[in-house]
Amino acid sequence: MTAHHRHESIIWLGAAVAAAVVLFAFGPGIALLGTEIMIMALFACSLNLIMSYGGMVSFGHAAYFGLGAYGFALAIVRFDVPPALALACGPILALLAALLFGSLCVRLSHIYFAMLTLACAEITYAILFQAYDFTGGDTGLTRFVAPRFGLTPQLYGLVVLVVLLLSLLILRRLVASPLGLAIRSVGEDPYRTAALGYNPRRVQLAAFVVAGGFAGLAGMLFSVFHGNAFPDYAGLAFTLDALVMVVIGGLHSFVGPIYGAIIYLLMKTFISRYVGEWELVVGIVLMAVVLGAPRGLAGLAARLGIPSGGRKS
Amino acid sequence: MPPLLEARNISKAFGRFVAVAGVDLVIRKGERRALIGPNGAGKSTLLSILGGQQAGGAGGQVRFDGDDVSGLQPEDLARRGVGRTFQISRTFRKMTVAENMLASLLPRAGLIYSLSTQRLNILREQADAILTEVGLARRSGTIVDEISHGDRKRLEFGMVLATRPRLLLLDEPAAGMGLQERQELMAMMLDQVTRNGITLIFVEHDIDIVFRIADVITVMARGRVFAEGNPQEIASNKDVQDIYLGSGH
Repeated sequence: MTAHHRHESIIWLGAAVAAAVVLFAFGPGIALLGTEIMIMALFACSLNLIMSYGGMVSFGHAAYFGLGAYGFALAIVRFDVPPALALACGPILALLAALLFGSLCVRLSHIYFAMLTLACAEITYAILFQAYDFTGGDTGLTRFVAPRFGLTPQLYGLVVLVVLLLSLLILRRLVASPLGLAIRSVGEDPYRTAALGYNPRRVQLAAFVVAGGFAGLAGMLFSVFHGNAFPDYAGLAFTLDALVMVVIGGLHSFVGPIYGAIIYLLMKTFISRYVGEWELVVGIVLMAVVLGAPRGLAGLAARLGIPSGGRKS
Repeated sequence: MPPLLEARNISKAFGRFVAVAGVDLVIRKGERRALIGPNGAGKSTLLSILGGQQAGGAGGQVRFDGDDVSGLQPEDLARRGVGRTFQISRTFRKMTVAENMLASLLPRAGLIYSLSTQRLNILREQADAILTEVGLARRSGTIVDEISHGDRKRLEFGMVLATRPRLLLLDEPAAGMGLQERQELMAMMLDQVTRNGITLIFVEHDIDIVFRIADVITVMARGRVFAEGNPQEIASNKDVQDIYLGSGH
């Protein structure tokens, strides 16, 4: 293990311990907020994989978050799957949907890709919203499990923390692997990769499916957290939330979305107590970051010597 | 010697503009063919058709090593051994020089979809060896955005070399470089091409380089082949002298 890796591991371990301490030290309210931050951080990290590394800006990533929630909920409500097994159904449904939609979306690039992802998410939202008999329509699916399976906020927060850490570990390994290098290469110049013998679309699809799977995992955790599933989970607002988290946290950084999720949800929670239009503050912060610190909070942290998991290896 | 590449009646139009109009090109194994001609003659478009980048909508037939490869995608041609550099070099500019080389080695090693970092580490030795060959060993850890134009040209050449091409398509490999740098780069490229037995088709405006390297020169004008022959024949062709070379040759 190099000194850099040792330094990074110590920081990761420290952050995990600090998160666990926060969950247990400040009461259930903070534990609930911390848990939501971790779930959204995982969702934002999954978007970051295709955005920062794969060069694909998706306007429909919430579709897989929503399907993660519904995969879990529908498995219990409509198919009587035991809850413990239903946990796997969320990410699997999201993964399959990402495979289906992704194979369509990666045929195009730039704004056309973004519009196709949006169209796929809108179709998902419309189905969840209108298939009343199956999905519960706009009233969603509720009361099918106790929120957090009845666990205390602190304990469920700890479970989410472990899932988040494991997910980050897997994503980190993926980014450092040959497939990760291929994703980054295609993200930078698909034209060049094709001339080297890559099938760029297939590599993009691989990234898209992995990202969809992790978004589904986050959606499933969110559904368990609240004990419900609503069509809004697949809506544009959730995608925009994740996009803002990635940009505020810092594009081209592995940990940026985590910083972004922390800041965004803290703003949403605390500023909204004092300012009715809290989105205005978010808009100002977003503008300041884009203009003043294009590498986001992770870029600022890197200047202070805190590893950001940037692209350079 | 049998031809490695045989292109017949190649044509390509962009709207009403005909970029390439009925070009025939037969390249023997081991040959070094130069494509010259004024701007807009269709040289780069022809290279792009042969490399698969502009294969869609192109007319005619291309045979590579006996197989009909007309209309194949660049990745398919790259896997068959057709390598390509571009007029404006295409590298992964936000990655390090070494990462660029590793990324170029992945397809050949069959590791594009691998999750094993260990297998990536095994490729590092090969990457370092190629970087040494192209004179970039010292720049290995540098982000490509921070290296010079000439070094980017070297890197792009090394990246294509990593795919072990049998036919190399070089589009203005020495463009935008100073005299000495240009000569060093071309010497290195020629050395690699010779040592690896690579057949070469290159577009170049520097006539000295063309006459020094090429076995056969194809002169293009307005999308057509205007003249073809060995350097002596081209140099003594009155029409070519008049329209392209001037009286110096």
